[in-house]
Amino acid sequence: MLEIKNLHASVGGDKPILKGLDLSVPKGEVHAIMGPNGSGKSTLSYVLTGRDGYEATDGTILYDGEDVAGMAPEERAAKGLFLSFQYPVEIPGVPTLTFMKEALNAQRRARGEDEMSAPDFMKTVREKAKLLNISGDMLKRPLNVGFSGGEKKRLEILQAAVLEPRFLILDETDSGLDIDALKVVSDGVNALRSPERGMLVITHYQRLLDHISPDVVHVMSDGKIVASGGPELAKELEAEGYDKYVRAA
Amino acid sequence: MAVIEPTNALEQVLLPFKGATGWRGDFAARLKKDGLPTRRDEDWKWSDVARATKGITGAGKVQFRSSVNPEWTEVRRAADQDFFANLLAFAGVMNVTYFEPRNLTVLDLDFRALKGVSQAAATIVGAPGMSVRVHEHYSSEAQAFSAIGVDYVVWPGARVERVILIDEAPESVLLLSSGVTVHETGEFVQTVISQGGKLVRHETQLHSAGGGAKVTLNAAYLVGKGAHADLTTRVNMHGPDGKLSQLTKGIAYGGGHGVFQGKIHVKREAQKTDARMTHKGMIIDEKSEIDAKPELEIYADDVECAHGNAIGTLDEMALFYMQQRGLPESEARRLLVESFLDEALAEITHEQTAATIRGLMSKRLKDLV
Ligand SMILES: Nc1ncnc2c1ncn2[C@@H]1O[C@H](COP(=O)(O)OP(=O)(O)O)[C@@H](O)[C@H]1O
Ligand SMILES: [Mg+2]
Repeated sequence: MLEIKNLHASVGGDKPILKGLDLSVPKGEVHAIMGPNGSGKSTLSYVLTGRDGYEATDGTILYDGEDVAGMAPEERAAKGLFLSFQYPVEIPGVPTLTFMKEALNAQRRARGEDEMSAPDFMKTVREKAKLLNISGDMLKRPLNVGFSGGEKKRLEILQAAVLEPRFLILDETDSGLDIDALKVVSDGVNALRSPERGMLVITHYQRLLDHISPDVVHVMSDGKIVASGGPELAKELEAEGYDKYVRAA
Repeated sequence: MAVIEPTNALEQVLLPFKGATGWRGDFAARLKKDGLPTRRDEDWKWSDVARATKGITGAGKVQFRSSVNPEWTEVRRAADQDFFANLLAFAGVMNVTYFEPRNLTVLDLDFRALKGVSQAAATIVGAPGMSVRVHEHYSSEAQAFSAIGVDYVVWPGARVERVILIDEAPESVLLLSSGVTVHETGEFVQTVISQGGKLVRHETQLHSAGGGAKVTLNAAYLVGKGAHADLTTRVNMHGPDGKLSQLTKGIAYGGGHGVFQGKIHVKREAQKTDARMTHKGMIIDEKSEIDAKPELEIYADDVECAHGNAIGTLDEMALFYMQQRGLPESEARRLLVESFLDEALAEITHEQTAATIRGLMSKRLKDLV
């Protein structure tokens, strides 16, 4: 479903961050990427979703067999690519509900589907918000403004649940969560697992992977995937740290 | 029934607060002595009226109607259809329409400038203890240069809410000045929305007597290609215990130019003044420009006064976030800009009016990208 070959990317003009990354995530699988800070995990998520200034300088990204190069971020979003941001952005003055509705209907329009009616939308959001412990009051507030770290992460997952993307990238969705919130968020993520959906779970720690059992674990270091394995690899990293891979890279 | 007749009431009306609105006289005297203001004139350094009005000639008309008298009426002054006369009109006008909407709670005023050079003026009085809401709407044909002066007197206990919507044609110039006198315990709440126009200057010269007088001055400007909006305010706090809250927000895009000049002058007698002035501008692209000069002149020692000025650009990360969720870039931009400006509309109490204004702003912003 996602095929990345020899991906190179630079940010801030010419600073190479991704240096020949290969990764393949088939439909229905959940892959985890673990790696030390600064290894380029967030950069990868931005290159995949088309952030300005994060273009690939070499290599290819195929999503559902289609090259994403040259596709605008909203085009990729409409095709079902979703990024749960490491740092969700505060948007003052735009109520959370309004934003979600605009986003959903923009995606639907882009796919040539009918817009969702306001009552249907409210019903969907209410049901899904409840599972994630998100209050109606929170949804009326401006998007992410003044939300705690945990609230922001839960809201990212709510947006995923409402937008029903086909491929999810979760960038450190576990950071800033206490044990209870981690459980709520992981349950939310697990509910989105499906044979039709792929997931890339970026994390620094093993603890999220205790809840979301990945099919494959990759280790990223200095802009490349340097090792891949089963869930046991995450356990090994937890016990021994990244030293071995950082030195190898 | 409100009084709508040209009178010379202006002087009379202002007598109880003598000297307070002397700025018009001062400005006229200065014009007579030094001639037209140029960009070397500190008060006009960012707004080149002479240049903007080049090529606009002939006698124009300001037409006018109100919710009291919905027929379009001509309020043009007969003689002197030239630039100089127009600035004199801006400074102190003869042709005064006088309103004292004693029995009204809402007054809609519509000013329309036809092609050519023209002037008009009005005075609106908030009678003691009365509460009135006034909506002023300014529009123009192309190639109009109009100077309009609208003065307000807010008597003790009166509350006046004033919404000014300026929606000018691209080739037109409007100089709109407001002399406002707020007496003790009076309240004056103004929101200006300025969009379009080759050059539009809205100038508020306000005098507050203090004594519990409350003043709110909000404004939003949006200037696109070829547009210039100048929002100038000077607030004079004369007596103790006056309140001022001022927020101006604006965006410039596609080569538009925004100007904010705000001065608060606190007299020695105006102890316990509480005054806040904020300007926030957003420049969307490199072709556009915003100039701002907030100033405080404080002669009293026991006051709380603050001013802030911030000029930024569109938050690229916010834009990307919204696009990632599926919003097309143009829609994301518009949403960000609208929500940015919205804070300046918060004091418009009439929902319908606020909605109309938001709609007109959205329409303008269609050419944002
Ligand atoms: N916009 C940017 N400009 C310059 N350097 C950047 C930018 N974004 C990220 N970097 C650098 O790229 C490297 C990888 O960062 P990042 O992808 O955030 O790593 P990770 O998510 O794995 O911690 C770091 O050295 C970081 O400083
Ligand atoms: Mg990161």
